[in-house]
Amino acid sequence: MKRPVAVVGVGRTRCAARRDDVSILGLVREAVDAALLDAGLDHDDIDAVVLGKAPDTFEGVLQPELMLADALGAAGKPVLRVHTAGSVGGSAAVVGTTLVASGRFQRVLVVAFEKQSESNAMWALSPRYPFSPPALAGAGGYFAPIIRAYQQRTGAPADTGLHVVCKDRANGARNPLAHVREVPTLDEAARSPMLWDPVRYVETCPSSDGACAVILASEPGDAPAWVRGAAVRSEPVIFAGRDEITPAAAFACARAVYAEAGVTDPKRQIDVAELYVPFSWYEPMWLEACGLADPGVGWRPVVEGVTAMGGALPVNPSGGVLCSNPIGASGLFRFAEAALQVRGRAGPAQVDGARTALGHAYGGGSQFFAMWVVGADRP
Amino acid sequence: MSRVGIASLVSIRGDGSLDERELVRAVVGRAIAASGVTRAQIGATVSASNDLVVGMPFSFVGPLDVIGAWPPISESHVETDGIFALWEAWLRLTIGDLDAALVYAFGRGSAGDQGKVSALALDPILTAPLAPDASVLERLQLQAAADAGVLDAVDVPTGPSPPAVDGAVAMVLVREPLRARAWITGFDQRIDHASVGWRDLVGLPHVRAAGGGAGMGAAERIVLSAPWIGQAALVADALGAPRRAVRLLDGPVAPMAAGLDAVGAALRWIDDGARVVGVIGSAGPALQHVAALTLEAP
Repeated sequence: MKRPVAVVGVGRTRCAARRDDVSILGLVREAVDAALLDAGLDHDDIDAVVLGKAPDTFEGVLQPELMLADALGAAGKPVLRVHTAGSVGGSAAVVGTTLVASGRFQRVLVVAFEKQSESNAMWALSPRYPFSPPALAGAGGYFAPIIRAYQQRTGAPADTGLHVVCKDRANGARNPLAHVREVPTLDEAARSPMLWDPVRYVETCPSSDGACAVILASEPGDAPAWVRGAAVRSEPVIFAGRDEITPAAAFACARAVYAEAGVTDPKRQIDVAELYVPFSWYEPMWLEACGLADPGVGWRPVVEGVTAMGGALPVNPSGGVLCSNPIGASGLFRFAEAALQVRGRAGPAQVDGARTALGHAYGGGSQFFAMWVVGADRP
Repeated sequence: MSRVGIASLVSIRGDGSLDERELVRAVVGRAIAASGVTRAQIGATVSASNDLVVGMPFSFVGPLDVIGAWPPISESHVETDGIFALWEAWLRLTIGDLDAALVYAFGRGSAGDQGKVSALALDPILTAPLAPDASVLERLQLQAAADAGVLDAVDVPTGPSPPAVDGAVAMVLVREPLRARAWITGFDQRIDHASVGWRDLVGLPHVRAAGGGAGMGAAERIVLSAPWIGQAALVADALGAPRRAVRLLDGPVAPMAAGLDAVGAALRWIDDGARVVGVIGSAGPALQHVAALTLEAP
C-alpha cells in the first residue's frame, strides 16, 4: 500500500537572469540548505535525493548529479536524475513521492535547477532533427500556432493573455524571489512588441537562473502539506490523432490526480492553483484541462478576475513562470508554491484559508504532464 | 508484499543506420510480446537516455512516438544509465497497485566522441576544462589500486577505451502472481563523492553499501557494467565476493543501455540454471554512481 507522504520543507532561491554570485553548485546548495532549514533537518536525515532538470545541453554539464553529489549532500546515498523536459520539476516531485510511498525511504530530498545563463538555451531549444526543418524559433514559435488555434476555436477575447500577464506580474512584484517584477498596465502590455503572433514579448516567460528544493517525508513535521495525489502522463509529439490544443495527456493527468486525491469538483475543492504558464494564453488552456473551467470558456475566469488574488480561484499567486523561469526548476517551483499555500507559509502570496492546492507542470510539445494535489489535512 | 520480477528483456545493437526511434521501436514491442502481459496491464513506463551522448536536446521525445503511448501513459525518464530507470520502476511496482511496468534505454555511441562527452560530467569550472575523459580517471583508479598492491601493474590498461556502439534495451517488470524469468530480491544504488581526489577509488565504499543493501552476498555470479577488467576485481573486493565471481559485461556497449544489457546477461545465467545472480550497473567516471541488483531464479 502507498504510505502517506508529506511535504515538510521547501527551499527556493532568488531567480534572476544571471546569478553570477553563485556557481551551479552554489545555486543548488542554496535551495537545499533553505529546504533543510525550513524542515529543521540536516543532510544526515535525508535518505535519497531526486534531481530534476531540463536538458544537459542547457549548461553543457553531462549528468550533473555526478558533479553535484556533494552540493546535494547525496554522497553515499541513492540519487535519481529525472528529465522530462519542462515538466521535469513536477515529475521529480512525483518520483520523490513514489520513493517515500514505497516505504523504503523516510525522507527524500527533491531538487530541481536551471542556470540558463551558463549557455545558450535558445540553441538547446532548437534541435535539428534529421529530415525535418529546424525549429529555430524557440518554444514560443512552437506554441504560438497552438494558441492561435485556441483563440479561433473558443472565440476568446484578444486581450485574454494580457489579463493573465498583468495579473501574474502584479503577483510577482510581491514575491521577493521573482525574476521579473515590473507590473505593466493593460495598455502598456498591449503595446508590447509582437514576438510570435499572437504572443507578445510581455506575455513570454523570461530565461532565469534558479533552484528549488522540497523535502518529502513519511512523518509530518510542524506544518506538513500532505500529498493527496500525484500523477504523470505523457503522449506522443507527432501523432495525427492528438489535439495539441486540448492534449489528452493533460486531461488524463488531471483525472488521475483528482481520483487519487478524492477531488470530484475541482472548481469548488481546489482553493489555489500554481499552473505552468510560460506563455500567457496557457492559463485559460490549462484551467480547462485541469477542470477548473468549463471547456472552451477558460478565458472567462481570467478576464473576470476570478484567478487574481482575492478572486475565487487564485492562479499563480507567486507570479508563476511568467515572472521566473529556470526551466528545469519551474515545475518544482509550482509544486512547492502549492505546498507553501496549504502550509500557510506562502508569505505575500498566501491565499487566506487555502486548504487544498494544485501544482501543475507541462513540457515537450504539450505532451508531458505532472500534477499534484496537496492538502492541509492528512489523507 | 508480493515480489517484483523481470518478465522479459530484449536488446538490440545498431550499426549506425538506425536512429533512436528505430532502435527503441525494435525492442519495445518484442519485449511486451515476450512478457505475457498486455499493454493495458502496464501501469508505468520509465525510460533512460542522455542528450549529450546523442548530441541533441530532448532526444527522449522521439522514441516516445514509437512505443504506443496512446491513450496517454504514465511515463517518466531518467537522464542516465537504464539501470536507474529499472530501479525507479521496481520501486513503483513495490507499492503494489500496478501489475507491470515497461523500462527501456537507448544510446547511440556512434553519434559523437563519447570520450569527449564523458569529460563534460566534471565540474565545469574546476576540472572539465582540463577535459580528462572517463578513461583517464579510470586509469588513475586502477593505477592507484596497483600502487596499493590491490591489483597488478598489468591490470592498469594502456590500450584504447572499448568502443561505444548504438543500442537499445527494453524490458517488462511484473508483480506476482504474474510470471517472471527472475525475481528481484534486492536493489540498491549509491552515488560517490564528486571530486576524484575525495573518493576512495580503490575501496569503493559506496559499492559495498549498494551491494549490502541489495543483499548481493548470496549471488553466485555478478555481472558488472563497466569498461575495465581491473574494475571487476575492485568491485569483487568491495562486495566481499571472490574475484572470479564478478564478470565484466562482454562486448561493446551502448551508452545508457549498458546497465540493462548487464541485466540481460544475468537473466541468461538464470536461464542456464543459476539460482542467485547479481548485477552492478554504473554511471559516471570510475564507478561514481552504482546500482546493485540481486536476481533469483523462479
